Amino acid sequence: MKKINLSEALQKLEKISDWFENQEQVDVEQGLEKVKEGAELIKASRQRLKEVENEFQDVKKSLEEI
Amino acid sequence: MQENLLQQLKIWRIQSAQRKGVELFRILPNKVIDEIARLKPTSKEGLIAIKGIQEKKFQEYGREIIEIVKKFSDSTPAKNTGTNIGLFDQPAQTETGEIFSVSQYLDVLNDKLFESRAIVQGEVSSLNFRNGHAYFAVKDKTDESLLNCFMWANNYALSGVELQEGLEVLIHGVPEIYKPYGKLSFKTELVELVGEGALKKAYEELKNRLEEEGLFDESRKRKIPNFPHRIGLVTSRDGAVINDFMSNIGQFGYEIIFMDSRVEGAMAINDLLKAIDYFSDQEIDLLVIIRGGGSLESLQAFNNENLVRKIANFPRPVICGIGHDKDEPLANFVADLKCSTPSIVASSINKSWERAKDQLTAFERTIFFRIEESLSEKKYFVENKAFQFENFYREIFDRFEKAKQKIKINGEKIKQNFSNVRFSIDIKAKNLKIFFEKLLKTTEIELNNFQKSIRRNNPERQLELGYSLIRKRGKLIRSVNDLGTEDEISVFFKDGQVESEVKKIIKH
Repeated sequence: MKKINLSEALQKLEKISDWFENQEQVDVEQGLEKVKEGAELIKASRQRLKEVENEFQDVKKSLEEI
Repeated sequence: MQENLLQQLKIWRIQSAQRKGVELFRILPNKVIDEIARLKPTSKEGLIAIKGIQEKKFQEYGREIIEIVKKFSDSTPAKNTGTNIGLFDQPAQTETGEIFSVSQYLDVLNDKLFESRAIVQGEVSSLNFRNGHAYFAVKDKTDESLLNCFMWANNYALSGVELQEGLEVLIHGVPEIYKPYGKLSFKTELVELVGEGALKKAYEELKNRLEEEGLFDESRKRKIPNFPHRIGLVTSRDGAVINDFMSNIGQFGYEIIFMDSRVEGAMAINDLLKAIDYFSDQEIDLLVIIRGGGSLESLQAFNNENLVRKIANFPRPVICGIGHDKDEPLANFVADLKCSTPSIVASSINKSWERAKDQLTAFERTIFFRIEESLSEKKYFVENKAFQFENFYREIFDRFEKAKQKIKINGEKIKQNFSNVRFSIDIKAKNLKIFFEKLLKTTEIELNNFQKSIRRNNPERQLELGYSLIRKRGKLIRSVNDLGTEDEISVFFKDGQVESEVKKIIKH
């Protein structure tokens, strides 16, 4: 899985979302470009937010085994 | 035999580790200890030949290790009885009259004493500090018995209890005969206060002091980062707390690095500090310290000044979830975020991840709603234009159609006319031909007749016959009335002409 930086992705999405909200008349050409970028970010972020098993590392145990 | 040497080496290792305040494996790992016990090296060469012992380790511990090995070999009869007879359970040896040097004997005693690890309660007296190390005694309240104590500076600092004359304390440690003086001293590793009252007093004092120092200020608190990934976890391996935490931490692909630590009572402090030290140079996003609720006494490690300061100075944000009855542990106050239960700690870590889901939905909604809106606006616009266009063209088409119709009708008419015209022309042409042919014929006949007539009536023919013609200025004269006296006239003959003048007119 391609790891994405979720913070960055959300920031970018926020920008895109703001752009859409602040545009009085959304230019379709520009809008579609942004939608494309946004859709990709949403997809990747959703992927990251899907259940991913945690890793558990017991440090003391591994130190004792030295 | 070998096992007894191993045991002694291990005891030595525990002592060295405690003296230095480090983990056992930092002195020597198990494998190396095993190898020493197996090979029993008594020289530098022999010791360095063991993998894991380099020059540096030799400098540090070589002499002590060789001494232990030598002592062991010396004190072990070459002839093995076959039973596992160790140094600790060998009354037979003294009975056999073996003679020890003072030093050897004190070592034997100290080995025995090392097993007398204990927690002793008493009142502090004869308190004295040298180079930060504490020299004191604890006195039995009932019969004034005395136990001499010594405490390394670092252990004293870690304990976080300020020793005072008359203070009732619990001391944890091991007795040892200090060889240069032959005096027994209780090597104190940890001091704790006795009784809820003393603990409470110390707690309040420290709390006020740290509060005044600003260690608990909101402004010092760092934000728990969004989307933490690597999480350092300090708690006890046993107990419900770790399970609570693990079952509530979401499956967001966390890397949880766990350091087992005692959490109960004053003894927990060493483990806790070591764990925090370990994590301070690890690449983690967040440190989590959790423990279930307890009394002031059982939580005293979390009120330890060293621990509180370590949390305050930890390079990353720290979440503390130390349960408590009434006196909230100072570790909670100093943490960047404090929670009352391990499950709340877990959900506060999950928060940004959970929120991201909602944010995504909101962004998605805004973006797609707006683009759909603008698309339908455009669609409407386009449709509208198309409609206008259609109307416009429909009109043109209509007109064109009408024009076409008109042209068609007119065309038919013209065609009709044309064919009419052609028809009449055809007829007329035929007639004309006949007419002209007739005319020609008639004309020819007439011309012939005329020619005959002309020939017949040609005046010049008359001249042939001997007649003459008279012209006046070209005009044929038929009567004398046309002439006057002195008129010039031309008289034409067959073979010439005469110019003459009228002299006299005689009318008949």
